[in-house]
Amino acid sequence: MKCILEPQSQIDESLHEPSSSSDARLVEAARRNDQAAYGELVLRYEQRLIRVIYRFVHNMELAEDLAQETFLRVYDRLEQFDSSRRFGPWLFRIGVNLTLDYLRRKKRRGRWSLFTDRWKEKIPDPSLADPRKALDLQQEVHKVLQMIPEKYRTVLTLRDLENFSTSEIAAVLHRKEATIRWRLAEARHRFQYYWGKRHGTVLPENFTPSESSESEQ
Amino acid sequence: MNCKTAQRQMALAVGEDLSPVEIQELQGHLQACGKCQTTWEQQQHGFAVLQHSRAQEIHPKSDSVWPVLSDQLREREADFPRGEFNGWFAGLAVTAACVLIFVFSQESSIPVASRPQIGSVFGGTMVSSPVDRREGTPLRPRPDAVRANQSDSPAP
Ligand SMILES: [Zn+2]
Repeated sequence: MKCILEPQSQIDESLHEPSSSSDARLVEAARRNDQAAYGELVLRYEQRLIRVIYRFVHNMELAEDLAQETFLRVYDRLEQFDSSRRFGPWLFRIGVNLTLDYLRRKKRRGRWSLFTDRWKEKIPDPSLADPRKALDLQQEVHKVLQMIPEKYRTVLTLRDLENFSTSEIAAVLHRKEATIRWRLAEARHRFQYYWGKRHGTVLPENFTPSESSESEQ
Repeated sequence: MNCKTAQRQMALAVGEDLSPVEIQELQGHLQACGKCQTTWEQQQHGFAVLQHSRAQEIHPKSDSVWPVLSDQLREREADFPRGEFNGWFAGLAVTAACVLIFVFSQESSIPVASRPQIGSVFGGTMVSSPVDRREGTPLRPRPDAVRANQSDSPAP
């Protein structure tokens, strides 16, 4: 139990940095067509947003495109933003939803192309052909994450890869913190299970991923 | 604490997502349960993998998306000035509301006897509000579901 008691070095980047009150002022200005004010909001959040999206799509060019699309969408919806709330979680909610929608569409198209492209010659997966890439930890983690259902994967990605707090994730996903904690525990179990399965490490004796009933307390 | 609860708590403990009281309870279980001690080591391994992955740098390709984005916003502003668009949208919304009011006022003028009875479709009596039979309390949407409906886009 030693590890529990030792504080971890965590990058402290909360969603309401640098200041939620100045965010609100910038949003107000942007609503009055002040594009420079909106530009400041973009500069404040873009690096974090791109990184978060990248964790889901694993392609930097795409992550930047989706971040850009997110900022366009946010600009269009500024009138709907509730100024009594924090801007960060709202922005990330739109960004994460946009990214997940993109991935769902891509998955559907993928299923379709499995039918339409069946006759085509099978091209070897470049990531498998190149041993350097096969060793890439991020690639491997990404592959294992794909085995985990979306609702758990999203929480795990935000918490363990991007260091959002569980209360921030609750705000981003519009769920209760208890639900987020439940999903987080399930997600970590599943990650460990699939990682172990893929890499031949010892598996927990008494855990197999199942469609467990989710606590909505 | 049983082993199942301990495992859930371990998955949270590994990322420091437990309160000090919860940690103490878990420690109590782990000291007495060899099986869970093994699971604890495996949980730490899985978490370490994620931590290593997180520590790897991610480099955006461009310095900022703002130059391209501001061009796009300017172009759109030239084609669709915001104020004008909002006015047009508000006008459309008012028209739609008027149409709905008209439709409903027409419907309410139909004699009650000729309107279909929802309850009768299932061969039962009409109930004014649906009731959960086990609890005997009226069914209401969960508070989080209400909040989710108020959000701008559905949370995943
Ligand atoms: Zn145990």
